[in-house]
Amino acid sequence: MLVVNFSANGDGNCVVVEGRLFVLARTGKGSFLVRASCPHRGGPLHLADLDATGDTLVCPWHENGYPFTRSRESAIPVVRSANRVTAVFPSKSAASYTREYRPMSRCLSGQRPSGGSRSPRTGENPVAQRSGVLVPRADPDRMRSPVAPPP
Amino acid sequence: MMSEKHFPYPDVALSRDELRDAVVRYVSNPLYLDNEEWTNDDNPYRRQLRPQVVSHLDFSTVLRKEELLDYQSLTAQRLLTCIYEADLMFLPRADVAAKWQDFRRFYSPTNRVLSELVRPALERHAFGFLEGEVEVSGNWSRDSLEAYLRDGVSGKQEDPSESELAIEKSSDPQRAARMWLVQFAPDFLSEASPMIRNVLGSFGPLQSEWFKIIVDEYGYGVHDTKHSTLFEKTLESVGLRSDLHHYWLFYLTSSLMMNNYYHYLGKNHELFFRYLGALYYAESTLVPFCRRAADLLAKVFDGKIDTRYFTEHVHIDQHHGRMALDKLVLPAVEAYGDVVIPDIVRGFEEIQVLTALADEDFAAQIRWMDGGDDFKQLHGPVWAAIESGKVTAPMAPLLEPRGELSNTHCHDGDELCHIVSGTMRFVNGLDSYQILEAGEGTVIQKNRLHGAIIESEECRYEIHSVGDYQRCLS
Repeated sequence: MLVVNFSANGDGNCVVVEGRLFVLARTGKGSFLVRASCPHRGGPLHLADLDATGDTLVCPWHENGYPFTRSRESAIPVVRSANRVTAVFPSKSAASYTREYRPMSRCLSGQRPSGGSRSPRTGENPVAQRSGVLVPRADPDRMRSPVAPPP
Repeated sequence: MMSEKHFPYPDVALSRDELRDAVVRYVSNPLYLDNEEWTNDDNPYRRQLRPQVVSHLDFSTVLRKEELLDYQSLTAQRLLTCIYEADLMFLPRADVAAKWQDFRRFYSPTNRVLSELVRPALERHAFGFLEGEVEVSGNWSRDSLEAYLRDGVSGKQEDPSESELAIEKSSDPQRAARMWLVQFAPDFLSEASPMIRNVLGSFGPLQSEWFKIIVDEYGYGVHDTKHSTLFEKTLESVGLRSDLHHYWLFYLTSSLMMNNYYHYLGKNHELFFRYLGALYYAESTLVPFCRRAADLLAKVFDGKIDTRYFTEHVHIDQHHGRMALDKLVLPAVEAYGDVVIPDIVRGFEEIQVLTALADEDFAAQIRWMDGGDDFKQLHGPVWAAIESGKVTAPMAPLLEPRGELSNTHCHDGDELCHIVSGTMRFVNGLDSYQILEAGEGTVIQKNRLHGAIIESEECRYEIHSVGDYQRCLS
């Protein structure tokens, strides 16, 4: 197996393993490894929106939808600690890989979505939609009262 | 079949006010009042918690990562240390009669009930940030876990840590090294106690494998070889005291956090598999760490230090690293399935987050101690900015009599201490201080541990909360 470290955000946030590009999608439903390019025509999935359910990537080129929470890529074991990501690929441990940079859409970079989520195109969308509500990552409860400084 | 709706089972949770009141009640135990000395004298029950400040703190939140070295966090970690250690057996070395009341108070039902009442909220407050800091996803298997863990410890801890570099670069390496040893005391003087929390019960072959590691840590029942005994010898060989929490007031937030994390995992048995991950990381990386520590300490003290604690770990942790993986972690997955893996991964990552924080915290404290004269010099321009009205900041005037000891604490922003009259000994670490006379003062850096004692009949001084002292200099 091939263990690869890369960044969640910023430089080196895209790992290329055996010619395939992967990024970590940080969404309100958790963080998952996803393909950075669309299998349809190679569109930039790292810039994808999420649909209303929050678990389907919508490619910005042709608006095809991909439910990443059930994809082959999201099954790859991955752990994020702060900005460091470690993924375990089923490739041979000696397989080569490189790291690159890809800009990420807001909704895949651990930030709240910028606005209304997009819907994938009907008809061309090969994937059945799942019901659900997009739940952005909640900030920790911050209810602090003014604190007197210790003397 | 009985329905759950007839027997509701809500979680126990205190409101913010209930929590604050319970914590205030807990810290009102006379054991936790301020001290009149910088150290505790062979009394394992005395731990200063500065109860006069606690009512101003809110433990109902989850601290963010950038708040982990703030005063709120220091207090939470001090509290948790007291709470966890009420499960451990401590006795003074001498004069038990004089400490009998303290002994009874520490293990009293009131202390223990109150500690259990506030513990879950304090744990959430202090360690809740880890939930967002570490995320695990994907379909893990035994093989992917093994590849990940082996890769995760390969080459780790080979280079000197920031703490070690800080000691080497320090203007007073021996003082810095003593401060370093003191940071290990909460863990090493009762070493493996958190692990023992998982010895009780019945969980098959894993239990016996877990116990084997503890047998080593406890020196096979031979007191002189018990790891905590070895560490006592290390402390004593460089002139430090080895009675428990003698240096309570000099523990950094992150040092307590590191030790408390293992208690947190051990006390809450639902986190057992996280403990496995954290244990594997610790046992695997201690070998290179202890090798470097032994070399560094021998160099700093010209060979006049007992380093057996560290050299013993260089040997035995080669076994413990292997045992933790081959006898505990992987058999756990084989026995209980992939469902346990995310927790193992989480523990493996979480302890690394805390280790990195502790490293940064200690190195910053050494720079703060070494820079004492520089921070004293900075009083001039910062005070000028305040006096001229260029900078306005909240100010607290204080008047204290001779011998008044401000027990160690830290601030959430930079402060200026300005002496109006009298003399103050400003202490910024173990054996590290500046004398401040009237008209003098010092910048107090955000998050840095410090305290003070008055050395004149009385001392009138002011604390100006400037936030960021650099803005006074521009």
